[in-house]
Amino acid sequence: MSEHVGRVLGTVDAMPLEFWVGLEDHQYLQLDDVVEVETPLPDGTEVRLYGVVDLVRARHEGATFDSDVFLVEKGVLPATVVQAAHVRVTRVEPEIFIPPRPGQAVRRAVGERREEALFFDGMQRRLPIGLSRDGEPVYANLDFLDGSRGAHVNISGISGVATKTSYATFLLYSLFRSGALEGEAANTHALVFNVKGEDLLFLDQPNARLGTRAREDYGRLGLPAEAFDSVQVLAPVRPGSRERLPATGSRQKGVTAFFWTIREVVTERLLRFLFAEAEDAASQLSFVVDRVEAKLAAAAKEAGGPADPWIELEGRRIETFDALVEVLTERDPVTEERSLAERWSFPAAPGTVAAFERRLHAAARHVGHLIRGESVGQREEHLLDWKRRQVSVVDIHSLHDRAKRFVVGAVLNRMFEEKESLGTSRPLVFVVLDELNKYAPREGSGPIKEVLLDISERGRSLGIVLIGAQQTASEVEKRIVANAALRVVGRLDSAEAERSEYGFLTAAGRGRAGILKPGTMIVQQPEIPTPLLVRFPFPAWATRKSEVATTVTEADVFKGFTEA
Amino acid sequence: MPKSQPKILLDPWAAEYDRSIQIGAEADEADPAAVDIRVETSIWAAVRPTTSPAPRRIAFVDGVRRIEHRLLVEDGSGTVFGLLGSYGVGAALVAGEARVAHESVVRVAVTGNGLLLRPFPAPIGDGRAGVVFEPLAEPENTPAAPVEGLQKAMRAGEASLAERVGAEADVVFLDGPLTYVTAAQQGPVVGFVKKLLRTYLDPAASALLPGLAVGERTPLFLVDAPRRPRYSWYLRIGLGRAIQSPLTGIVRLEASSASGLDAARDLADLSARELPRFASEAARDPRAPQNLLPIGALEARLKHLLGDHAVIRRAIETQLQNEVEAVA
Repeated sequence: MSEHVGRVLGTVDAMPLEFWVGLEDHQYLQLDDVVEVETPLPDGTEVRLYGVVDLVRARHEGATFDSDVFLVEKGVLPATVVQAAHVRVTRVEPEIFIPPRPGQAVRRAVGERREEALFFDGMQRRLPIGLSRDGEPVYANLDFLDGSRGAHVNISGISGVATKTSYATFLLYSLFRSGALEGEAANTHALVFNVKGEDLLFLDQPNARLGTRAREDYGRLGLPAEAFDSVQVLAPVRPGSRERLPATGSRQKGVTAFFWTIREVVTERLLRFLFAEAEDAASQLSFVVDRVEAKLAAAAKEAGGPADPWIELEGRRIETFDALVEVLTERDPVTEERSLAERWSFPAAPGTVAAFERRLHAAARHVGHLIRGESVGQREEHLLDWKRRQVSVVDIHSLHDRAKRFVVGAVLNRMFEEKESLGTSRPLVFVVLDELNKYAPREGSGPIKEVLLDISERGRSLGIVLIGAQQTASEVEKRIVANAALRVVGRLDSAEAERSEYGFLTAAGRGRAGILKPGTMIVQQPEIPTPLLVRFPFPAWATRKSEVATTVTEADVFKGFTEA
Repeated sequence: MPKSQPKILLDPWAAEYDRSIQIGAEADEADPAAVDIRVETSIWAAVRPTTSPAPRRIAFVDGVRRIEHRLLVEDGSGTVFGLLGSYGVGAALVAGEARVAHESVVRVAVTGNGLLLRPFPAPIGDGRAGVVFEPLAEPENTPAAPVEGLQKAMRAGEASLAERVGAEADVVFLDGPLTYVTAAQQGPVVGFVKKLLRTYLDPAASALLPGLAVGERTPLFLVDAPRRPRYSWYLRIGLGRAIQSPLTGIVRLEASSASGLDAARDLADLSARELPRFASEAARDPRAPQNLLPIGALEARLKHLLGDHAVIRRAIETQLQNEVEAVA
């Protein structure tokens, strides 16, 4: 048993769920330290209380005025510095909720005691989710991530400093490599949407900047310090590219271009994802979309086989999205006959149909190149198939917002329907999606929000786990945030931290959320009654082109020069 | 309970009532003695000591006392006045930083008429804590006698602490006159008298006092008391406010004459150099500036160590109740 660091204070109420510890002169406690204290019952039973330090204070005792500090420093006024720490109780064993007796010795909880304090002892399958401030691993219970007892992760934090996607990828890495999933890991997939920047395009490349300290961190977490080993990068097809080249940024090699065929869009009824702005829900627009989708699906059956990318409408073969738009919206300028969309959606008001047509035109401009009816090549090569590799990164960062919504909606919709038809929760698939507020905003409804809500409410039983992230949880649909078993907070704006979405944070936690450094997160999980601060290691995979480790190092290149 | 044991009862008066009685006006102060103001110099004028390195360790010794309960003791022949009281003595040590270095608390059961009670225990709570009042007898049997006894015990405690602390400090400032410091004491103990109850100087010599600047002292003068001859000097450690007496901020210090004039002069110079920086301000202490900062803090600390008055009073009452019930 370790030396005691202090004693339970009797000048402030000690309570079963929180108490203060006066610290011995030569000892200290810092925030997040895990402590234990035993307190006797009259019958001799020892009740052990575990807790986490969430406040620490120091003050002059014997000094009454603020100006006393100067006198004390001058050495004319005797005063003692006393330190005290506030402890939030995490666990009481046995469960007899009594306050610790003032004067009882408080010790750091180490080894098995620490595991007990943080409920790690009861976790059958545990997933390393980072290191505590004292460098010890912190675990999450996999039962709450794989759907057994809960699922989903929600991450909030300011862009740039909160490193939300880095943490999401770290969680994925831990899931695949820690052994927590055991034999299942090989069969488990992850679908990662890269919505901004290019940091997720190099997951399979080792990080050249990985230092010794980071390697040690991985070691302590029981993880190898390597890149992801089974990764495919999918990028949208380049506009107007007959050769179906991917529209890539700094990553050139090993990128697969993806698109949809007109037939797929029509038969899978994906048209609605072109009208995904939340504001559309209240209007009649969804009615028009619904009618047009139904008519198109019927038309698709009439000509061509399931493998043909095109469809026929009004006797015309439709091979581009622009052609589709034209057929749906054209009017004879002389007769001013009603357009096909107008006729199909009767009796919708002409204004609504006009809105539909306007948006369809806009969609054609931004999304049209992703939907083709010709030059499709080997279709299998350009399918957005997330089962090909363990991790699929879908790079949509360069697409227009409207196109991003279409891709996310179409992919998740297909995945959900597929999993739904299988009806089993295995194999597992983890979906990483940042900017959740765009896809599932708090206000209004829309087709993507419905898919995301379906995943968040039923994904648990279908084996779809959503790792969602956003700057501010207050702008995301409440049910999606509420359904997440693991809530993670990076650096938060201090006004945002006060909102009820972060009610799980302690008062001190709120304050700290405003100053968290990149690489540090506060994690709340169902079994542990207090949020824990974790630091996660520097990525072992490259997050930008400059970090990609090349076989020829700079030193090697210049070696010849110095010797010549 | 054996028959010979005196019966202890609470005095109906609350312990606080004695506060109006002037206790502790040092008997010694009223002691008539010849005063020689020409022992240090023939010119009676303000002295400002030359600068000198600060001493490494300065100690301040003080005590506090409290009457827990007044008693009336029936000892068969009549009623004897008594009390249960607590006192604490301590020392603040200034060596770079100031800290409370010694502190102790004593509980006494003082009775007049030379009567000595047995130790009086007062258990608190589940008995893990508790206090025991050690017996102490005073010859007289007046309401004030037990308070005198308590005061004397505290003063003696201070004096003996000052003697012990003298071994580890360059100078010890003892709150109050040196009455209780034994003549054998040769250490650097200086009595610090903040209440100028009696003037030792004739009016002509006294005229020097209001004009002293901060850090200036009078020359040493010898108080040739038969029992306790000592050197004394007045010193201004701070300025009072306009609405206060011009003597505010003047203190009297004294050192035993046994160590000789040179030793006393060194102590006087040292006090004039060092003490002004320990003077308190009016906002902090109603007894400012005379009540020195370390002494104020030490007093607060010692008062705190005496424990909660109500808790101790209740423990005493419970104990007496138990004794009464045991007899009945």
